[in-house]
Amino acid sequence: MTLLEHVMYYHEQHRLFLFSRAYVAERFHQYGFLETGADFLMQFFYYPWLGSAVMATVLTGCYLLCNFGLQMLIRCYDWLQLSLVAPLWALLSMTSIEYSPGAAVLALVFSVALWLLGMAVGLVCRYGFHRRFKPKTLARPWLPFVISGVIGAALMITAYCHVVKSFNPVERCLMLTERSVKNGDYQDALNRIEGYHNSGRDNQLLQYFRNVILTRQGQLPYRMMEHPQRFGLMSLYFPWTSDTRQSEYGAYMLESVGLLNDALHWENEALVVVGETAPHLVNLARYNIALGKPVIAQRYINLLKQSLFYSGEGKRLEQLKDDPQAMGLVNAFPEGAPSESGFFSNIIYVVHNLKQSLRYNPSNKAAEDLMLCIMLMTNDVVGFKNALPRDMRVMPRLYEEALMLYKIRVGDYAFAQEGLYVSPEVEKRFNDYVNIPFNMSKEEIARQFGDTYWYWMHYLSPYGPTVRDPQQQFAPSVTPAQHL
Amino acid sequence: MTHHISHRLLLMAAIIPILSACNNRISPESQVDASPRLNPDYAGVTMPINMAAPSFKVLEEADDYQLEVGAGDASASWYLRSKDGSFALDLDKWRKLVEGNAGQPIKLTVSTLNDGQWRGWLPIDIYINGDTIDPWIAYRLIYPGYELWNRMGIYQRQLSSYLQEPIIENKDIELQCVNCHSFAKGDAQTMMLHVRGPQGGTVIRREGHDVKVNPRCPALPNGAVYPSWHPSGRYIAFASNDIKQFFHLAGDKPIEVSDMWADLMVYDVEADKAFTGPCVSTEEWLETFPSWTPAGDEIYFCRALPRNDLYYDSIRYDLCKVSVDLATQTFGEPEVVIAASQEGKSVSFPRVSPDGRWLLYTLSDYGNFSIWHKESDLWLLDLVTGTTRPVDEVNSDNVESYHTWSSTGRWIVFSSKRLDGLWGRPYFAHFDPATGTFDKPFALPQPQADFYDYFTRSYNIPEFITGRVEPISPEVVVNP
Repeated sequence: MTLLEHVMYYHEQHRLFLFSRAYVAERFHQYGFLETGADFLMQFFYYPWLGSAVMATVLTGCYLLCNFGLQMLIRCYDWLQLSLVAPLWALLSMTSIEYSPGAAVLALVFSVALWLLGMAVGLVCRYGFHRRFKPKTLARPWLPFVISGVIGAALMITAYCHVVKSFNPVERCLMLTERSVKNGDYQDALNRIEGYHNSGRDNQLLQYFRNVILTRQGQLPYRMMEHPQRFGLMSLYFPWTSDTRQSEYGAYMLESVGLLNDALHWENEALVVVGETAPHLVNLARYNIALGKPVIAQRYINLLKQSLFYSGEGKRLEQLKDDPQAMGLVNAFPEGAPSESGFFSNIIYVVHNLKQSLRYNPSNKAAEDLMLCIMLMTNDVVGFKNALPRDMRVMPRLYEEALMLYKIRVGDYAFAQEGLYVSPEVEKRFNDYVNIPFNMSKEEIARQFGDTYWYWMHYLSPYGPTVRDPQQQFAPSVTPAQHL
Repeated sequence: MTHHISHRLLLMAAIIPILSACNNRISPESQVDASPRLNPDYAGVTMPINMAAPSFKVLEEADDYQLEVGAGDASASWYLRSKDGSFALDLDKWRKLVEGNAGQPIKLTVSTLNDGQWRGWLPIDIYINGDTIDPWIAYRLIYPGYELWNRMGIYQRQLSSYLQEPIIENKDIELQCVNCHSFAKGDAQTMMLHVRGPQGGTVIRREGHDVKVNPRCPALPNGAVYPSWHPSGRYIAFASNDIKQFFHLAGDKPIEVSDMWADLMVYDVEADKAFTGPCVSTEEWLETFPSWTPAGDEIYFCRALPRNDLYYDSIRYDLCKVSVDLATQTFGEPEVVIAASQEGKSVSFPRVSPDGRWLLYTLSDYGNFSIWHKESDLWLLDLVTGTTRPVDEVNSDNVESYHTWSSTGRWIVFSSKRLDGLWGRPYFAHFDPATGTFDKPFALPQPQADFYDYFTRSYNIPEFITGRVEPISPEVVVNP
């Protein structure tokens, strides 16, 4: 199960068995017995070791039941190891998040049915339980063992090959990274993303998680460019595209910068798409508490309390539900911020929302970092310059590099007139960049300057290699992510 | 044998105290001079004789609870005990009690155990009115999302029991969105609903026969949205809207839903053709939420001046009416009935009572999607005297919005978010046409006392129906 740890985690996060008659009745009606049974099994993967133990017991039980039933039916040992088929099929059906763990329930049902059939036949034919059959004396008594061993080994090898073939390392990295982010184990998440990045691959969702973590750690402008930002703003936040697959992820960054109304919006949509699952119920409860809506939060908490493993979290949230500060969330619009006319969220380009939030809470550093980085990731150097606080004591190198482009654009005098400054180190590196030998390979340029804003704009920006005209209305292209 | 007898005696010894504990009435040692609080609140409500038994939780803190249920001044018919204050009344016993005590209030008397002492509370009356209510309601069950959807359905609920059945579920039609169910005078045989998705359209049922159509008026840029059946069952008035959603960045309201464009049209179901008129399809006005009068010669609707900026909280709808000549397919001149916009208010969901005397509508501060407006309240207009008033006996400090009259005009069902502020629940209120007043409303009874504490879907568009609706075949949608 360690190999399939991420698959089991995915299912555990996307199913929530509730100990309530209403839940079971509704789930049966909508999804059927197998899915309801799968919900029950998957809940144990809250603790991976417990889930693995339960699943191993179920699959072993399948084997034993099949074996007993078959022996009763054919009155012979299962030399062909047919009893392995059901549990192996179930196991193989759980090698990807695309498959439903209902296969394990189906295998169990089949095994029980086979066992009952065997029992019935045994009873009707009066075999008795103790004297099921008498194996005939064979001339070569070792032969059945050899056949059995060979077929068993063949089945196992086939199964292993299938698991290896269907194993998706991206899927695994995504799932386990998401788990670490949810658990607040940011270093583990960063290590996983780093490992993936070092293998020469890139992934939008992983970059998004990385930027979420950097935002929460106050490191976004300092470390964002350590990885090439090929996805532009799409790795900073999710512009709303009505894509159901993205609905689960939008809230992470919005929560990080305190746009709680927007984060709640995303979580509500995720609830619609995914259903009443633990991560969304927890987030809905947290956001509603932080926004001062304890009665609404209580509804979600009630559901959590009906589960086996999230009831503790539910009780914890219940105790805190009357204290908006207790969630430890930044609220970009603290109580008293006027809900003024036309004060709507821009769900495509959140820079507008971040600007508004900074009007009410100028000390919201995470919001400021994200806003400036989004501007940079959309080639909006002029907008970035305008929004850049002039009292910044230590300016991230990324910001200086962007200002360097602005300096080139307006000239030294106008640049100085605006009270802007670029350090000699950055100027020198920029001169090195613009004077790179004509014959330098792309790889070498990337090696030397891949972490600079200039390189990003000239080689990676999805919006072309030029600074955006400040008058130009920006509408980001929001193609759905490929990997989700 | 002796062994068996001793076992039976032991069993009886164990059972007798349990049974006696269930049936024996506890006499309270002291009295509290107040009625206990219930959730949902059924204290002093008026229920029809054919309504299912209510279930509720006593909100007073206690170690143990006793409930005595009886009628009038007679002694209690039965007793219940609960450790957590939750009481689900037996449906059959409730029916017998209500039917056997016509005209008498049902008394709920609660006693609570605190610090080893039983305290009696003042009885709670539930008034039973002889005006029967339509036997079913229909509604859509949805999570409070905004744009995306997954599993959903339109359901019907028998009001005299807890039976809920699907009319259509989108799991059977490739998860397409179903919405805007509407019935002609509550007739289960004459109804419609919209389907949104790749196989979208409007499913119309007449005399039990279902067809999928696409009601469009060539003169209008948008399709059919909000419906209202003509009393004849041949025509449907539609608002034809372009609707956008806007999300609030801060504050309590999560969302604003606004018309970018809205006109009226009338669709002839038999001819599969729609018509409109210049006075209800101009660019100057947004016209929406049509509602036929019982005579079928006029449409009440809401009308506002559009805005081209983001200040949608400045759009306010007046209540208007317009005559319609179905023979010539022409509209008369619209007439403003309530100029709510001049008072800084906005009207939505006008509904005329079956006798044509009363018009119930929702009033909010702005816009027309009042279900997301906490300040939304129901208002009643007397169409004879022209006086209007807030229905204070029904309204709460939270949302009261979508409403429907029963076929008799003696009951209304409406959406209220009074329980928590997010989920719309169906509430019922009795109406006395002689006085133009309502009795205290009550929430749709559920089989479990804590049902609404766990149910995280909204009852969207509650509509009365006079009989059971035969479920719509998915074939009509996916393979018409």
